[in-house]
Amino acid sequence: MPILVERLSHTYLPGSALAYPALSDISLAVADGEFLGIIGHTGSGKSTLIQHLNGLLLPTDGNVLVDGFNTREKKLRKKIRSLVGMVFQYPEYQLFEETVERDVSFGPKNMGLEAPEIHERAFEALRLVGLPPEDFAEKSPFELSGGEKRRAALAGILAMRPKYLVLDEPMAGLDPRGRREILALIESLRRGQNTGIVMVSHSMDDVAMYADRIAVLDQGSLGMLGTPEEVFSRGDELIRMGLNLPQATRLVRALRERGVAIERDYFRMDELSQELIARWHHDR
Amino acid sequence: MTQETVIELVNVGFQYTGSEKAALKNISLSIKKGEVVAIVGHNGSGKSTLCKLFNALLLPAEGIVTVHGMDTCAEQNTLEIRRRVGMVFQNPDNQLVTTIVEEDVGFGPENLGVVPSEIRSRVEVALREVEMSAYAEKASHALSGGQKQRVAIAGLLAMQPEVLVLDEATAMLDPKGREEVLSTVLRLNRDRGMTVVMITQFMEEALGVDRVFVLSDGRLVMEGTPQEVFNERALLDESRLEAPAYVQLRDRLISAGLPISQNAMTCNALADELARVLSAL
Ligand SMILES: Nc1ncnc2c1ncn2[C@@H]1O[C@H](COP(=O)(O)OP(=O)(O)OP(=O)(O)O)[C@@H](O)[C@H]1O
Ligand SMILES: Nc1ncnc2c1ncn2[C@@H]1O[C@H](COP(=O)(O)OP(=O)(O)OP(=O)(O)O)[C@@H](O)[C@H]1O
Ligand SMILES: [Mg+2]
Ligand SMILES: [Mg+2]
Repeated sequence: MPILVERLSHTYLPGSALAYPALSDISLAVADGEFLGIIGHTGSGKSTLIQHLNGLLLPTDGNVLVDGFNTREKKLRKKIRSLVGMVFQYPEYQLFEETVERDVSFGPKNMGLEAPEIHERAFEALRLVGLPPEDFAEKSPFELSGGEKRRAALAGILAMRPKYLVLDEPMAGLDPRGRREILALIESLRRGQNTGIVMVSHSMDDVAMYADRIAVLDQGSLGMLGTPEEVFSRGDELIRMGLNLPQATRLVRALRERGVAIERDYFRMDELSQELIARWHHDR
Repeated sequence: MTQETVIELVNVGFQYTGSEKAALKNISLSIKKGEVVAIVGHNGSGKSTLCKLFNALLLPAEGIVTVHGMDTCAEQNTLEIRRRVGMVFQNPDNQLVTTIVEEDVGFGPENLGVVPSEIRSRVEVALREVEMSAYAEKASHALSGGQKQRVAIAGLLAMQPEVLVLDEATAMLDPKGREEVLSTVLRLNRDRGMTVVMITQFMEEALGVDRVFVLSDGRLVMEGTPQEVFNERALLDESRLEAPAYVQLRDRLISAGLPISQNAMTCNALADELARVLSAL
């Protein structure tokens, strides 16, 4: 069963003088095991949209159904929160306990798991995100570096083993290797556990590489929804929206401008590099 | 040409209280007036800690940090140092202290004792600079993640410091926003001779700077031009870093035998090289 977003609109502070319509008429679905990327300019409504996916925000209009459960129903909220794990844009919002281990255990504890299982899950999650529990379990989350905080926040959600993972800029502030490792981890959860992934990102390369489909938000509306190929073939529109193209695609464009004919578009550096090497050998 | 040194560290060590391990070990470096430098390093390598030493937010446990020759450990220097060295924190929420955007941007200059009429005009200019004028009267907490970063940057600009320290200040911005902030900062460097220190995890951002410092495990392991640093593949790897994507592609092409220049590091430079190689055939 999927997450269904049906004609969702959201206005902050409705009815007041400060009313701000942040989203209008968004419809989309996230299937089991699907990787949906969300891109859009600053303030386009990405964080507002994803906070609807576990009922943190409720639609002003329209509905969100998680495996058939409507997020408007108060008594389903706990159920929905255990299905949909959410990592916020700023990890500070979800770190509040005295030690990292307690923070990571918070979710599993709330799910009513037994102490040994909680402990095991917490340690496993910490290892997965690159925070060896020997070094980090007893630390205060407030004494972590920026990237370490982000990893800890992610561990807390992984430890709940949710069916859907909703991640708001999870790579921001991670070092290049960490970025690669965490993306690989997310991908392995998807393949192994069939976890549905929703990832907001400003990295066109990351979404091009991993997403099955990409939703493009533009001023609170769904500007595009399609495969990476479909979305990134509309480069000029994306650039006008304050976005960009994956680096491989940018190089293809730069080559064409210089009279080098490249037949198709590329979104991934490794594929482009193979093409360029093959081309060079062939020309010789 | 002898350039004036703005920030200098000599054998600096730092350890957080209650922590078993030193966050910074024996760091010596100097930053010259008008330079643009980048600090890169893995998570927890000590970048934010290092920057907080630059404006006396943290004080060294060992060694000496000076700003224009003023020792950061001497209390009578603190205000003058903070006036000269302004910083945007990694998390803008730590910076947005009041409730309204324009008040937040004016907070820094106000603390420096700038007169109200001057504060108003600085706030206006700074908000325009980051394209947030329309949000001047909005509540700071009701901003999107990237909008908060823009406001935090405006707050720094309004202080008109001599040294801008940006701790991953563009991490949450969309691609266009990141380019704009970067070009604003470079323009201030060019036109007003501001010194710029930026921490970044986007290695391609570090390509446009004069010098790159690489931290690993609290140590300064490398320092050089982007060219020098990003060609040290083994050392980068040991430091858990990677060269920018176009540099990696360039190296893959070179090892496959394509006769392209080692100097190509950006999209355009690489395209120039490839156009020459591919169409010459
Ligand atoms: N609590 C709030 N009250 C009023 N307006 C808000 C609130 N939160 C966000 N907004 C506004 O709604 C719009 C969408 O914000 P949102 O956080 O969803 O953007 P975003 O796409 O996540 O942006 P970013 O990439 O900068 O994180 C923005 O213009 C923002 O100012
Ligand atoms: N307030 C604190 N108390 C104790 N230890 C701390 C504190 N802040 C940071 N540390 C530790 O000091 C080391 C350096 O942290 P710092 O924040 O300088 O790293 P960083 O290079 O900025 O990392 P990141 O890329 O994740 O932001 C890390 O191991 C971190 O856990
Ligand atoms: Mg957001
Ligand atoms: Mg940091």
